[in-house]
Amino acid sequence: MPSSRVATLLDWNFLEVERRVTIAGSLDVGPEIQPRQGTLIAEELAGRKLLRYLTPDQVGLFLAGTNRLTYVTPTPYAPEEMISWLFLPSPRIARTHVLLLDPAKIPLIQGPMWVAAGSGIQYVLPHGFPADAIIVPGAGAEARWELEVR
Amino acid sequence: MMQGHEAFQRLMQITSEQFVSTCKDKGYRVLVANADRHGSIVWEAGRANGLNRFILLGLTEVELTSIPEGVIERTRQAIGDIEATFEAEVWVAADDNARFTRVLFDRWPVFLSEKILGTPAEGALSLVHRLNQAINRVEILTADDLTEEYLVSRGEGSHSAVASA
Repeated sequence: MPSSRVATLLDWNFLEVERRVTIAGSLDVGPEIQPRQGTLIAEELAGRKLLRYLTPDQVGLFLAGTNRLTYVTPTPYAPEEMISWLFLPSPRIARTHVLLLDPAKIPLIQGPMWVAAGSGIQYVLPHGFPADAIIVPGAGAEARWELEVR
Repeated sequence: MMQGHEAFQRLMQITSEQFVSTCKDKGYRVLVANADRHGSIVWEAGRANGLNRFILLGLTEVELTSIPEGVIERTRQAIGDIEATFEAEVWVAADDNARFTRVLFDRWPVFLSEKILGTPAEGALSLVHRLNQAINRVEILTADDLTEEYLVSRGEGSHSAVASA
């Protein structure tokens, strides 16, 4: 069983079985899903972080945050796995880096929801994320940089 | 990356308008438009029609060197300096909440130049045709095409893990 399968299975079990949070279906997603405060999502995730993967060209671009609608996932994947599990276009372009985001610092979050035609779990940040949502485990509170996925 | 560039914003606006109007005309609900999905900008629409059917459009910025030189030269002659290059893809997908399939339907380069401010890029102009063809393709997918299994089945009361080795 590849690690991506185990990681996603654990996240499903954590959210739906242990935390009793419904993961929205493939077609039950969209603008109608009411965004919730990030602090509520943070409570559901019980300290877990949200991951926003990046291509090599995007490294450094989001350290000041972004206000663009942005997808994130709670699940760590290797570059060769995330394309399939998150149904990402342009599979030849590797997502080599990741930003770790503290959901409590993000004003509004939609989700969790299943990836359509993929088995991953995702959230949507309708207004992006602020710079202070970026965390670097083991570094200071002011540290903001990407981690290499390998 | 071009995300703060005026021509880029115009490309996003044109693409969104064409994606939304084309999908709505075909009875597809737009699930997301102009969203950043881990390095790609995506538009997604879906419809329940026997199966759950999906159309995904992705734009991912790529190096100009990934495009054949002849294509670059012809493009420069048509639109002038190329400021950014994107790989556009249209995927068609379907599921029955337990099994799914996804198929790359089309892939083409989209070049961004200042001219897009006055004249929509060739890629954007042809988008409606490509999307209509993709919707025709996704509409003929059947349950027999659903060859992959979701890790966990979806839908009311159907949550069960497919955790076989």
